[in-house]
Amino acid sequence: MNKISGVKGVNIPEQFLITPMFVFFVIHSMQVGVGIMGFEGYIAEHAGFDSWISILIAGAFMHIVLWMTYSLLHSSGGDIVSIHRGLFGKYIGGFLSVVISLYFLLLALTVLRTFVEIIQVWMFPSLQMKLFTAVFLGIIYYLVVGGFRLVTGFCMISVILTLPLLLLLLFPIQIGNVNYLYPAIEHGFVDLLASAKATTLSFLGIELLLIFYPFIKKPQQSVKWAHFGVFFTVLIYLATALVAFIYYSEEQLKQVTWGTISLWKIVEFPFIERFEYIGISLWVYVIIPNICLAVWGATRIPKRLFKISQKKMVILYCVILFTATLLLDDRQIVEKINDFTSQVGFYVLLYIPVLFVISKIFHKVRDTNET
Amino acid sequence: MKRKGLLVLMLLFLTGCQEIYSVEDRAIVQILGYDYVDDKEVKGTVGIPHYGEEEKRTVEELNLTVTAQSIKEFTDKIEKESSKPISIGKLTVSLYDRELAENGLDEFLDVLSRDPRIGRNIHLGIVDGEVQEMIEAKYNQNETTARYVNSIIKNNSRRNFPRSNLHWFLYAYYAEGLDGYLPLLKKQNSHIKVTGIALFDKGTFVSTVEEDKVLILKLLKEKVEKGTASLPTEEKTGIEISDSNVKYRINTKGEVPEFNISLTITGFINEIQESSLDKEQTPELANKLEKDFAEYFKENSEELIAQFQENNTDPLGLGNLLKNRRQGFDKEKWEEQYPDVPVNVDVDVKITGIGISL
Repeated sequence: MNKISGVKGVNIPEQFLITPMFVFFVIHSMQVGVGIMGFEGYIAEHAGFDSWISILIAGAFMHIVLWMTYSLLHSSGGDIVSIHRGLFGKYIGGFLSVVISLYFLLLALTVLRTFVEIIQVWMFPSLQMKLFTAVFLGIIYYLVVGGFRLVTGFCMISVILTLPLLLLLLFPIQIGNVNYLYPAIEHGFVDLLASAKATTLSFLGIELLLIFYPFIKKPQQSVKWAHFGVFFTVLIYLATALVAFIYYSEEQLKQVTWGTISLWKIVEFPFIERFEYIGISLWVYVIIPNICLAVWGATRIPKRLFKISQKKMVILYCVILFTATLLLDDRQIVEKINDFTSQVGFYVLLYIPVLFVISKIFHKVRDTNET
Repeated sequence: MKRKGLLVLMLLFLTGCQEIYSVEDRAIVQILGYDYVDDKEVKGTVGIPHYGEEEKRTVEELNLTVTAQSIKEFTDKIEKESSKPISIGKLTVSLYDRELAENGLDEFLDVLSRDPRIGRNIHLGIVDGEVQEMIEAKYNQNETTARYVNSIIKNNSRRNFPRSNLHWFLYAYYAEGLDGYLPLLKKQNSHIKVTGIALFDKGTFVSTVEEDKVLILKLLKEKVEKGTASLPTEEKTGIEISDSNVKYRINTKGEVPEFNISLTITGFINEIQESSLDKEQTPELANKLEKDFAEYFKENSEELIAQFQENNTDPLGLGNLLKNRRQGFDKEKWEEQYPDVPVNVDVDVKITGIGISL
């Protein structure tokens, strides 16, 4: 097939490959980031308490996009860079790849900046942003330079470590009021779709597959794991949203900036008064692989394009992240950049079906011309 | 390798650079109350426990009171009077006097809901009398006022009083078509007593539920697993409720929605005056008592709901229920309808036992 399309597959030495099962952890870690901390308010803005349906819609959309991504990658055998080069040529394709690289950088920035904001508001109001960001980026640099396998391993640790946090949802359930969560579809389909769109920031991340696909040992076998990963994310979001909807009243939810962290406030143990502190600290384990994957993806593209050492790119991108984080020092701006990334991410997700269609047509035309 | 190890060590020790707060060096506010002074000013009182030497194990409470124009100014002023930095994270009770509540608690609620250091399970209370007096009074040798008030509210909400805390109050405060309520406290000599429930219309105190009807409100709001009531007849029959269940139904066919509340109560008799006791007729007597109690609960519920409607407060959340179960909820229209909306209460009492003696 590669012969026909003229695009060479990317060959990665075996010691750098990951087994198909790990795709589950990579996809899941990339999807769950800061979005889950406060998505309840955003999605309820349009469709109110009916917006749990929107999560299912958005989830279904994610599964379709994931299927398209796999189909796209199977037929080309390479990554996004080779697909772009094959379809659009060296210059336009290269440009589009750079855009994707910048998009991943934006994702990393959004997650990092929002998390710093959370720490500032919830834990240390007098936090020295400079120092904290520098140390944080130091860890990220260390992990990313360690290579994709290292980051993957970290993803697995992160998923397993933070799984017990789900049990905390039991506390708000006991207090919540189910009486007002009645499955009457009051809102129209348009509202539900608007809510589904608002959910996208939380679901962003499966695009990374476009880059790390060549790193999977037996790509065919990883399909089911990737779908499991997306499904697991959808389940977690659904559970969190439903619990938030029974815990908060509809108007109250609009007043709460970080719904999920505020949920933790009701958790009461004899030995700890404020559980949200532990929750936020544990969340570092979710944030780090998330940023690492984004930075890795962002730097992998220039490496493929221009044959620059990835290490240098990581340093460059970390410096950009550092300065950008310090420049954006306002709650309003953090909110804006979240909105902006959500928008951009939505269009990147829409770009995959477009690419899928173009590639299908491209192959068809070429096949008929060959014969 | 050596340099890397050194770097890791340095990072480890860097954590020591964070400012350390020792418990002894902080003034930990556990109770905080406000009194109404005039339109512009409030008088705030805080209670800070002061732990004595270990052998004595005594707890003294330090009280500070200042008058300020806003809560922000109040915090600044309190800080000026305190020898240690103030910590608000352990706050367990916040009290407001009646007059302040009648003027609206919106500003205080905003501060409480905004501050990340304040827990969601703290208790709020309305004081019949002066808050400063209540906080400053000494009640028990080894218990601070904060703990005392906190345990009174907690203990009573396990029995006849409906549960309340900051989260539930905020839930109702923000929701459309739902109003909150808080316990009403009163200082009596050297005791504090919960005398009723203060009903709110959003942030404003509008009416009270008297002590004898508090259980009815609890029955209409939540599951009661421990509560006592007695018939107001001469025979003095008492029931101990062991389980209850409340269901709301709406009939939205007509122009005005109709609410049907069905209440199921299970309990056993814990007091019957001897004169009425007829050993031969126990089954019939139980049936009669079931009917009597059903009537009693029904009458009182209807009276209570009429009181809610009269005062334009909706602690049962009928509006919210309607909003969630019918399309196109019109808030203004509902507010007009609410005082006259028909609410039917249907009570079913089941007596499972009459104690261990006949």
